[in-house]
Amino acid sequence: MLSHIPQAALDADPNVQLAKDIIGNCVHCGVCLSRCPTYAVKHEENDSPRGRIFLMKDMYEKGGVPDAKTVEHLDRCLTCLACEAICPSGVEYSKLIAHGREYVEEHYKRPLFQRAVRELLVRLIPNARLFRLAIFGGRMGRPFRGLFSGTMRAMLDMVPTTPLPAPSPVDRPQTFLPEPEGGKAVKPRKRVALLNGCVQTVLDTAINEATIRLLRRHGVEVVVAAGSGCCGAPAEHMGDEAQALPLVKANIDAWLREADGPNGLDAIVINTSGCGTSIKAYGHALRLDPAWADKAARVSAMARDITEFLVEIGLQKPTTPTGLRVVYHSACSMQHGQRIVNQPKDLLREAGFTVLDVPEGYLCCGSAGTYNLLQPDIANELKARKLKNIRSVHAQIAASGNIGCMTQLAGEAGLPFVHTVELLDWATGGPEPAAIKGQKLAAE
Amino acid sequence: MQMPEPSQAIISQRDALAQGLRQIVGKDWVISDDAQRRPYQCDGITAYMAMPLLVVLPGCADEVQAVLRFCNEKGVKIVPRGSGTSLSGGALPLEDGVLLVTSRLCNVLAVDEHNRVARVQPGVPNIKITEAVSHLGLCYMPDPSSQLISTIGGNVAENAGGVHCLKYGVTANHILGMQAVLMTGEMVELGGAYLGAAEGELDLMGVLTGSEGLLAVVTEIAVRLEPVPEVARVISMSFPSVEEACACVGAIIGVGVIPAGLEFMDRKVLDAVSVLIKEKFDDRTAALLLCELDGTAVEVDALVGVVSDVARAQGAIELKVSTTEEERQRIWSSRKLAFSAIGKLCPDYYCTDGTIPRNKLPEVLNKMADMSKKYGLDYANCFHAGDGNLHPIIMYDAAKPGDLEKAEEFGADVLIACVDAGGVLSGEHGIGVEKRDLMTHQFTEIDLQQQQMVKCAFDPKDLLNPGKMFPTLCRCAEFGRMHVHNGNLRFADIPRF
Amino acid sequence: MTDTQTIASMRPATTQDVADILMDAASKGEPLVVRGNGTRVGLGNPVAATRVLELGGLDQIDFYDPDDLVIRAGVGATLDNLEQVLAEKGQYLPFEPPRYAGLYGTNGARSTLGGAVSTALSGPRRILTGAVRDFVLGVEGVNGQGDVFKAGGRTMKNVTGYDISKLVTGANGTLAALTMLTIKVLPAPRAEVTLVLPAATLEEDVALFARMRALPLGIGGLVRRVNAAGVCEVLVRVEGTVPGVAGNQQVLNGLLGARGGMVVLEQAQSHALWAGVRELDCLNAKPDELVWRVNLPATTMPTFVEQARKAGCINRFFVDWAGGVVFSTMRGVQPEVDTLRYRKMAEKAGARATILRAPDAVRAQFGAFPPVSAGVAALAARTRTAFDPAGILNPGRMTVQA
Repeated sequence: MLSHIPQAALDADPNVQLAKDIIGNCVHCGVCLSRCPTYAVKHEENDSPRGRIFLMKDMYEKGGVPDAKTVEHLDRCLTCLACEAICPSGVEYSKLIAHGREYVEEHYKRPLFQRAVRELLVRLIPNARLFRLAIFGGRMGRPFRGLFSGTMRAMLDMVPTTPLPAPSPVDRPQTFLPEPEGGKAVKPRKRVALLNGCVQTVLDTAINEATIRLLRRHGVEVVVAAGSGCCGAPAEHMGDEAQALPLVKANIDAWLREADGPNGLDAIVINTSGCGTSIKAYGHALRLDPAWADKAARVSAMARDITEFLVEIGLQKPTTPTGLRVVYHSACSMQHGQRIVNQPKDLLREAGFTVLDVPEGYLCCGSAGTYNLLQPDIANELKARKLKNIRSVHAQIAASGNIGCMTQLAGEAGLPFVHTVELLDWATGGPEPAAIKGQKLAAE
Repeated sequence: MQMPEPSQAIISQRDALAQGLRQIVGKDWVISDDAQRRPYQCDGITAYMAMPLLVVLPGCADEVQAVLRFCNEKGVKIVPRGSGTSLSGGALPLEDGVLLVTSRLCNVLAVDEHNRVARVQPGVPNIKITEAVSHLGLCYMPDPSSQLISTIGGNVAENAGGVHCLKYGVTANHILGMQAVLMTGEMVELGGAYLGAAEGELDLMGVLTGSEGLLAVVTEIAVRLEPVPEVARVISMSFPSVEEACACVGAIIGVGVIPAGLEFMDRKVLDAVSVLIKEKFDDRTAALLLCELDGTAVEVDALVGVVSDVARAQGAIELKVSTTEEERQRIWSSRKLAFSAIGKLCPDYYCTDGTIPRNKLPEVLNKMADMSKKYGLDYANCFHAGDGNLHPIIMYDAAKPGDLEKAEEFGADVLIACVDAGGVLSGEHGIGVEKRDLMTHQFTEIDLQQQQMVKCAFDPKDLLNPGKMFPTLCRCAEFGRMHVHNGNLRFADIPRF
Repeated sequence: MTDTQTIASMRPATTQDVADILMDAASKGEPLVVRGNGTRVGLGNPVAATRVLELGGLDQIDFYDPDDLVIRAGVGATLDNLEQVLAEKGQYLPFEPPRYAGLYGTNGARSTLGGAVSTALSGPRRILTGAVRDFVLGVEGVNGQGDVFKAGGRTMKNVTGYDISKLVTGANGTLAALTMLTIKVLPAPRAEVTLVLPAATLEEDVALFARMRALPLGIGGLVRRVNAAGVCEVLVRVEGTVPGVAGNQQVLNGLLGARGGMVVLEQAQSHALWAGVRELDCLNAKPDELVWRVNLPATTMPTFVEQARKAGCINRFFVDWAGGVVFSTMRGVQPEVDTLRYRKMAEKAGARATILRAPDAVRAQFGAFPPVSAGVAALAARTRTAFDPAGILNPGRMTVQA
């Protein structure tokens, strides 16, 4: 699609030039509309990728302060990237929307309340200690939820009602050697860094624990690198580059220290696909920064989702045959962002589970990072649709590879919701996941 | 490309009209904001853009009816639109017209398994019909390549085809009934939800199908469902020359085989695609045919044998036959990626849709090579060979002044060559605004006047999608009064756009 | 006067002659009966006109291109002639046009292509290959003002202007005097067999039809009828390639075997059988009986037939199109009363009841074709005016005039 962005704007900002090139690849065929969750809910061009590309084209063409409607529609994008995955012309929508949001944050002054909420989220989520505190505060506020609407209410609704797990010892910086065999130490087949994440270390410590057990059982040495933490995605989703970049750089430093250390590093393993997508994009995010471009690209090249990594090293034969019917919910960041479609399902099948797909599986569940907090109406509609689709296949367990989706869906799915690694760990000799233990599973 | 002069009087009433329409469809579903109207400026052709006066998204058939009635009373034009994927500018907005978008009318209303009919709203994307009935072993056959998102209402308006229409027919062959609203707001029910429901009626449904949104807005459609073929296999056949590939098309049909699909790709397309699919095509290949055969396993096996023999006799240098569904998908991926692959070779491309008798393929393809030299624009060919439906891809750069005009002229020359070869201007994309001014090349004044008289029977004030399909506006009152005979130009004074 | 009693006919040999005749008639406002050779003369409502425009003289085949599956011929070309020409190249008219010569006591050998298109009568193969309208690619004709126009083309796919070819198909000559037609043809199936089974109840047979049609078996005919020996039977026609038919026959054996008593008719026998079905032979209509066609959803057919038989509106009947159409006879004792009742029953069942044969007075009073809603009727009337402002082409053929 031809755009008429002023030459001065193109010269001033390489990201605008990039936007122009990406817009130029769009032929306005409309195929992206078929996969877009907001279009599925709103049925309106402005709430579709094609519409937002048009809005961004106009935004850059006009320059200056974007208008409120444009911002509203860009805000509504879940960044699920289903559009990018289906686009026949290879339009890199993810980059376009990321830079579009940065432009909005730089040029647009949000109403005070919106600003406050976004600021709060950007600071809270990456910091495990603050996040715990906030949940505690949220519990106190929950009885008054009726007094709130919109984001505040959504935040209160998100507060878990079950007690939080205690912080897990595995989430502290340390190194785990492979599981000994017959009482003897094993020489590691691979050495990997594990991203323990931010939200995950607060809400569901079992995931990292299962991941480490699983990797050790497969002869892998696992490092939780000192200095690594939140991947930066929550801030980046809101276009807040200033908040995101320090987190990104801290991770790069932490992992490259390991990689360049005496024992080296074969991969950076991530068990939250949202974070994985973000880390795989570090290279792009810092491409214009000469001091960081190469380092960031190295980290991105080493990043692997846990399922990708397991397929590479091969899964052990299952020792606990379960034969359970598992409905696999593929997170957007997994299937669209990283285009990891078959690996998790193949692994589950190898581990002895019967795997079922979710109808309309391409649709986002509405979680999308902080989206469920900022756009609760659309998020709730998507959530209801996803839950209905999950229930429709009559599985016994639901599995996913992203904590965000699990938090969004687990409470109301009507069946135990666990992380893929918990099932793989269980089947290859680990403990039965807590979410399943003692539960009466649906009959065959 | 010129459009009718917009009425400033109507444009000046924009706010009042928006208010009136909001009372019908609710405040959220009338878009009047500048920024929000802009994404509706074009459909699948970005070369033509116009800002719609207002965008209205009705939520039910009654609201469609009320919107039309309201606009008819106020003398406001309407442009209907589904998902905005038209490749002929059929949904190009008018500055003094309301863009009526059917995207909210997206429910499959009923599936009648035994009578094999589904009743659907017009905004349902084509693929969703098949998805809604696939658990019954049924499907909706027409499969335009936009089927993921193009709506059934839009398919009806353009009488959409697709890869499989060679064997299974186009949209018109699969519609059993419809509910439609005329510009006056009058609602009519045509045909019904069973085979033969339209027997003994004037086939108004037939003329509504393919009428490009100029006659009525369809609000409900009853479509025919078919059992899903048991097996499909595809044969990929390479030929050392375009002529031999074309001859093979006629030869396959000549021996009595109707493939489910029969597609042609030239060397340029293959080279572009091979980058994407990371597969090399034999150096001697100048053109490739993909021939899909479907039916029961026994039947398909027999047909694969027949077609392979024909292909060899016609000079095919390499034959690949799919033996599994994965292989079939892989072979087809080259065709499916063709247009995006070409898109990577050039900043912009322009694709037309002329259709010719199959035996004229070599003749018209040769003419295209000459035209390419004349205009200095590169082109590639990838099309539905079995239907003689050409999709020449003319490559240009919209940023280069004059390039679009050259591409358009090249396209027009191709279409004229198609008509001269006994073909038609459009096989499946429709006339829209894109081919409108070429209609006089295919039809006489009288032919066109007869068509416009039909328009007058449906929409006497010419408010529904005017400026599309015909190179002149309708003047229904005058058609009725005057009559000069045979060949004399009746309305020489009507301005052309 | 009605068209069975007209006095003068004109039989032009060229399109220009047709145009001249119509311009002349238009200027005088003189209504005309428009027909081919008049072999289906009792179909539709009687037309009040004194002169007949017979188009049977326009009988030349313009071209036939077997590799392109297309034939163009004058409307007067006989179906027999066309079918023979096509058969020489192994092709056929997929809509299997009936002649109904037996019904009207005319010579079916003179039935024309123009008549088949104008009456839009489709044979038993409709359930597999489609209706007449699906095969009309292009038309040339003369409108009610004497203007020669063309529409459509000769290609399978065409969205160039309104699909007037469909509009004139089944218009029974009320929009234009057609002169030339371009028709899509198909390769005739290489193999054909018919499985004959004893019938069960209507409900069971319709359910069986649905089960068979749910599978892609190339079934080009599903009929339930009473044969010449008075036995009620189900006919299943399977078509396709030689191995394909053999394979599908096996699948059907499995599906139908439980009924027992299956007889298989091979190619030639099968062919002859369906020619008779197409012509409604098994209805065995007596000269004084009315003949009806009722289109309806197959699932509602059994109840409808049962009620109509009880009410005395159906005397003999058979079912075609997998249960989607009922052909029946009605005793000619009190035709006005029964016609009214039968139509009402059809309307209640959401069906469309067409009189194929009845005395002129009955068709004139009730209309041969089922009524349409006021809105559709008004739109149809405006559409007719768009072609024939003076109302001279078969006026009243399709609509009952006040």
